[in-house]
Amino acid sequence: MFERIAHTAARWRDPDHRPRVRAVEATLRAPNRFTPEALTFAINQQMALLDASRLEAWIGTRSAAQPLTLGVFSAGNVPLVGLQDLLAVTAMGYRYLGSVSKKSDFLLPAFAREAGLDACFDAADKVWAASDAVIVTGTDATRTWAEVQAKRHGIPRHRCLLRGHSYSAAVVDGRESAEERERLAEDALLHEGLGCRSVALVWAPETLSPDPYLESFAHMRAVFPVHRNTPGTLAMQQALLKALDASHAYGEGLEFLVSRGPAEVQAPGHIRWVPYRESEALAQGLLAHRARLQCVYAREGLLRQLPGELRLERLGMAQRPALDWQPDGKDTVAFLACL
Amino acid sequence: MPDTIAKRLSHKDVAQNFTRVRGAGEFARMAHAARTYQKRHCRVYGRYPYTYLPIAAFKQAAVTCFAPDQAAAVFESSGTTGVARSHHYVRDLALYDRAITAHFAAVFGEGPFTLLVHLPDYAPQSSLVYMARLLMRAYGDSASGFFLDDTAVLRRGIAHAETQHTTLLLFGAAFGLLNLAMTQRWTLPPGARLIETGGMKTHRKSITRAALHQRLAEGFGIARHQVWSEYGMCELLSQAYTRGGTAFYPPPWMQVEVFDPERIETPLPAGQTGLLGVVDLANIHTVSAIMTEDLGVRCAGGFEVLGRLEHSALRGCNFLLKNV
Repeated sequence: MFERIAHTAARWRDPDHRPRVRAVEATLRAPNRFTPEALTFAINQQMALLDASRLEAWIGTRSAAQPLTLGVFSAGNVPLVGLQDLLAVTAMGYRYLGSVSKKSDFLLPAFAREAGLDACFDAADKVWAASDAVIVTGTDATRTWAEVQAKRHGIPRHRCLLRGHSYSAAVVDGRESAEERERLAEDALLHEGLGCRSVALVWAPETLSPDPYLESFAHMRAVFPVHRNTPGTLAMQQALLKALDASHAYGEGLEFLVSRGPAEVQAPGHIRWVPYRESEALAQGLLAHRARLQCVYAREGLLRQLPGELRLERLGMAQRPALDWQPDGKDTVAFLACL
Repeated sequence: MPDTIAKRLSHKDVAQNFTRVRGAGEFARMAHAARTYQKRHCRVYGRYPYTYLPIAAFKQAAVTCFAPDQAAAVFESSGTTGVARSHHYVRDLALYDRAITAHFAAVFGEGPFTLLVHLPDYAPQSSLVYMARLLMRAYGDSASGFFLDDTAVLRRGIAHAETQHTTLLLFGAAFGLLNLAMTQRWTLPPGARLIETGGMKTHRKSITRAALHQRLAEGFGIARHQVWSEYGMCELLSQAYTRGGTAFYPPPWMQVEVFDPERIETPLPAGQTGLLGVVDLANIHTVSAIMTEDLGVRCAGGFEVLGRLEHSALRGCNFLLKNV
């Protein structure tokens, strides 16, 4: 199984591989915010992770104790999101029954088909009706909906892995290198700010000028152009910030929007620059968001100074999650192993 | 309609006559007068280059055409701790009262009703509580009142409506009423109406409005068409009501359009989902044209609310909105 997945991934690393080309073309036509450049990045990044030894190290010998059907409801705002669940479920010997967002319903099925995984995709109601256990990723509303559905279909609580709404943050202190600033730009903007790992809030010392970071954002946009629909969604917010005399900056053509203010999450593509005075206030600010924070990114040296209760990663890792990363701090493989 | 409506209108004409507006032409003239006045006198709106002011403005500034310290009341939106709340500075409570009562009377009649409200009565900053108190005063009978845990109030109200043959109106937040229905099975008197005032935003797709109404109908022993909804918010002085279905119908002085969230102020045709933009002439002293964060769709003569365009939905996954 691991070999088969690894071989498929190796083929998918080739941008001209026909199934990948077809899936990419169809995905770019779907109602999402994927750009060709970001999509290529995401596929290459995910496929690079899939070698047999990494899979082996991640799953190990853990396997399904009984042949259950896992209903998996995947988010659709970031390319190939849900791949980790697909691999964990099938590699452990469960039957995967997925419901994917219409925003991106080609990539996962195409990969699963080519890898010969025991995976089917269907409409949400059919998935609920046929599932013994579920993994649901979405908003809080999705989570509540899933709780109701699980109850209705007699799926006990311990067989539900529900992931709610979260976002990520970064902390900077002015000592970031140019490369680290570019990584922050990638963390915040690559998928138009979408996805729980994308940086929505940037904590910075009160006296720190955001200019070098804004420059990095602009550089990043030269490599990864903005999606055509992002400026339209930011236009109203930018106009309001201007009307309110609120401190803000934006890229040419509204490629991104940054506003200074309290730690409140804005719309995707709109990053909130949160000034802090002292490290204690920073820690308090971060911990106040703890329940919602997926990850906090900072340069290596700064990570050690941040509260250890948070999930901390280096700048530049937001869009490069490891194979065994644990969304919401919950280990998917451990959940599956207990079913 | 006074002659002045047909002539050049001032904001005072709008304030005096908005509840008497009839037809699209009159509405457009009043809306134009309101916008002209508000662009000139409301600092935030004057600097905003588009028509529909994002509702978030009410969280970040005093959106008024007058000095905020002259407000007769300040209503505050509900919200979670740590998240900024909207503030609506109301210049003239009499005008607010007219907006509430004129539409209520047009929709429900003038009572008297046994008006029971499943809300706390101790929230002076809540526009909903203000509205409920006003309606009780204007149209309620002696058995009317607020209640939360004390369900004896509801039992007494039901008995009163049955013996006195009054129409019982039960107002409350959607999931509060649902919880109430789960504590025990109720049977409201014939002709009663249950009006849920929202509060679905944290449960947006966990239950559709239609399913919620069905469950409320079952829980309160009434027919599905006796369950209505109210669409209102702290930032708007007017309300819209459903009438036994899922479509909301605004009063003649309130117009609701649906806009493309990705193309600023680009209206969408009926049937397409987008952001709800509201023009409420009753908001004459603040800003009438508001871009809400509600997603909805236009339908014959009204609109449906499908959920909220939350940043969480955008950042995470809201596939259910499309898929289910």
